[in-house]
Amino acid sequence: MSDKITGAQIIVEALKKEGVDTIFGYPGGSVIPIFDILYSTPDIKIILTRHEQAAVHAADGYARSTGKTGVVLVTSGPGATNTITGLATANFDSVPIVCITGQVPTSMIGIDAFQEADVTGITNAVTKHNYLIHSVNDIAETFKNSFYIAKTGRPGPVVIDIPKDVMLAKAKFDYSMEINIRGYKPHTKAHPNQIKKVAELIEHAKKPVIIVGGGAIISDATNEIKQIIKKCDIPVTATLNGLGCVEYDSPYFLGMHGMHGTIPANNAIQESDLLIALGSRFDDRATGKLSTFAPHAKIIHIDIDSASISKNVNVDVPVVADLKTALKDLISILKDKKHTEWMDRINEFKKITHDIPRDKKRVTAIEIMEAINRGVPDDTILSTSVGQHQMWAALYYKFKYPRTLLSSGGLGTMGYGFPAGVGAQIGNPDKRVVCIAGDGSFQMNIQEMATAVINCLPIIIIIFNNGYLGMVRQWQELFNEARYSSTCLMQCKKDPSKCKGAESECMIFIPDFVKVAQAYGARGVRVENKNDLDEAIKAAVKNTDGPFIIDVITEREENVWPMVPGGSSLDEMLKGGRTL
Amino acid sequence: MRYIISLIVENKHGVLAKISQVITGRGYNINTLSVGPSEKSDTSRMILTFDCDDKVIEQITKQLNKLIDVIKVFLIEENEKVERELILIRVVRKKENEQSLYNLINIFRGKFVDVTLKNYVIELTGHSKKINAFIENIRPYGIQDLMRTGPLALPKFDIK
Repeated sequence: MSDKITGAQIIVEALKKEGVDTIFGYPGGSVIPIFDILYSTPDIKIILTRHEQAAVHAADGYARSTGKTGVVLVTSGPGATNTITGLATANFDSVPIVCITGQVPTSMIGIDAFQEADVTGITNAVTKHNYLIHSVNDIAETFKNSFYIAKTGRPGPVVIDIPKDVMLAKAKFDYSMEINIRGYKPHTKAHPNQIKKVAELIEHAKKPVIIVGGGAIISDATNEIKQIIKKCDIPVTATLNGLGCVEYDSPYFLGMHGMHGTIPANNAIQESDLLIALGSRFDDRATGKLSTFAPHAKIIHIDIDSASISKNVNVDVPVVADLKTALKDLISILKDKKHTEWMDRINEFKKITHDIPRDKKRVTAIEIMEAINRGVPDDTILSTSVGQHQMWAALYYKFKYPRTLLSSGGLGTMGYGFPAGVGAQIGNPDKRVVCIAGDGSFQMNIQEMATAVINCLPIIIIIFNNGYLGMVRQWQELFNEARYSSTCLMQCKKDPSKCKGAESECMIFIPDFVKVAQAYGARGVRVENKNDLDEAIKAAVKNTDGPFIIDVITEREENVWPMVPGGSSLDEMLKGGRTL
Repeated sequence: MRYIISLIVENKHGVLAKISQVITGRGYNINTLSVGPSEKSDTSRMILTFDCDDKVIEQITKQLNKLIDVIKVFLIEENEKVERELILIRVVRKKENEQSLYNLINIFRGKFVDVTLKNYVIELTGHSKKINAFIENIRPYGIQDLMRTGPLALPKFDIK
């Protein structure tokens, strides 16, 4: 193209060159020029969410489920500040996002103009990188660099802040430049000596355990990991974001480890003599008390982010590399191994049970999860928000494939699940998306019902409705003498005398989620009996032209077991009951 | 322990904010910071010092390395560098101790850079330890104000 075009046109041309076909966004004064170009760009679909936070979560869900980079377009000031929670969520869980924010015209930056915010300043702490573009001549290169930075190395969100006058200025469009960022050369290949050390440790280990993290899925290393597990007879546990890497029913799979990890996973880690951490970062929720974490184990840590290595636990063999590349190298020198005694021990761990409530007055968590396992296709994408329902999904859902769990692991963002599900459904029109939510979490982005209805997205929303912020209530029960401060979502402040306390059977629906569904023009049913679960899920799966809410009235005070209380070792698990 | 980190960074908008963000956001404290242009016009050199343990300095170094605008990070070893700090200090001028002040400035190889009827302004360069010692010695004369640059440091040889 030899003629000069506007900055806004350059932005759209750059997006096309990057293969972007979907943008999640919300217009406003400072981005009208870009939306104007998109108005006549049929190659790029705009998904108009009902809140900028949801736009970023949707782009995040789109990115996690497809492996592509999610793109967000919002206006200056409040449009940009509303993206912060979404950006922080994506940054924590290494999700590639390019977020374009409008900015007031260059001449007005710094004068406290209407809808002005210091976006690069605010987003420094929650992004991988950010740019403020000063000249129309810098747009193309900045976009090329941004997409490269977002997707490579340890992926993450990149914010591009563009003043309105830069969108309107003209320049020639040239996208042929080579990417050369002096300060950014991500490692991909592991040092051969380190790989040799890894192989030696594996060869001599008697009780090895593999930990797979979100990095295993991001780096698409699932097949390599499965090969190693089989070749060397090694049991494997996953972090929350590593779920789906190894199938649930594999004899090697121990389930998730950590605060709400399974008994076999936590016990195996504590007894192991070699931990092989693949793309995980030893989060405190995953390790429990650090000083007693895996006390007998040597630790191998393969990660693309050197800053994640030896940050929380001391590592014996660090390997900074792209996981898939490193594991391919490793497989080529690994010898076959058998760990019969260790696998027998693992199978003994698997026999230890924890409390799984069933057949109560109301529906219990396991009953819902089993109905979901029976009722939805194998390749269903599951999105969750944060809290008890998230842990139940992690513990009981039969994950088969990578990229089928969307969950805010690091930041723990309530309200993430539903908009992330919206993004995943947009990116995967042929798959089913099930959003598991709590009644608290769902209300944090409930407005996205409109987005789902308007785009005819057949998302199945299953609400674990116990009228509580259940996870906090569980902590209050266990550690604060059941003083349920601000965790009952039904407590009526208007007439406190009517509230008979936590044990009461009050059945106020605030809101009535079935009516919410109807108000948005969607379908919804309420399930109060476990025997009605299968039918409700069947109806939801049959429904293909819009969202479907299943509002399940659950046991009010069910707890998530097992649980490692904060500050305890992984093997100090509470397995059920009331500990009061 | 005191650590000195030398950075080569892009000389552009917002880089200092990103560097201080990544350090303070993780709860670490920058002791001193000096910034200036490097030998190339499009890069700046920064010298930061920290009082911390080796685990913290490892994390700081890694986090700084992750920043896209940071081109190089060196941890400068104590015995492999040349280090200088500049201090400007204003003290009260008193007839009765003028001679001993001259002597003190001479011992430390400082310079008088301004004099009025009421004060002297003194300039001194040297290793930070020398600067510390100088401040202790001059304190009895009545320090009105002082400004230290924080240390600059260069490795004695090319460590690229």
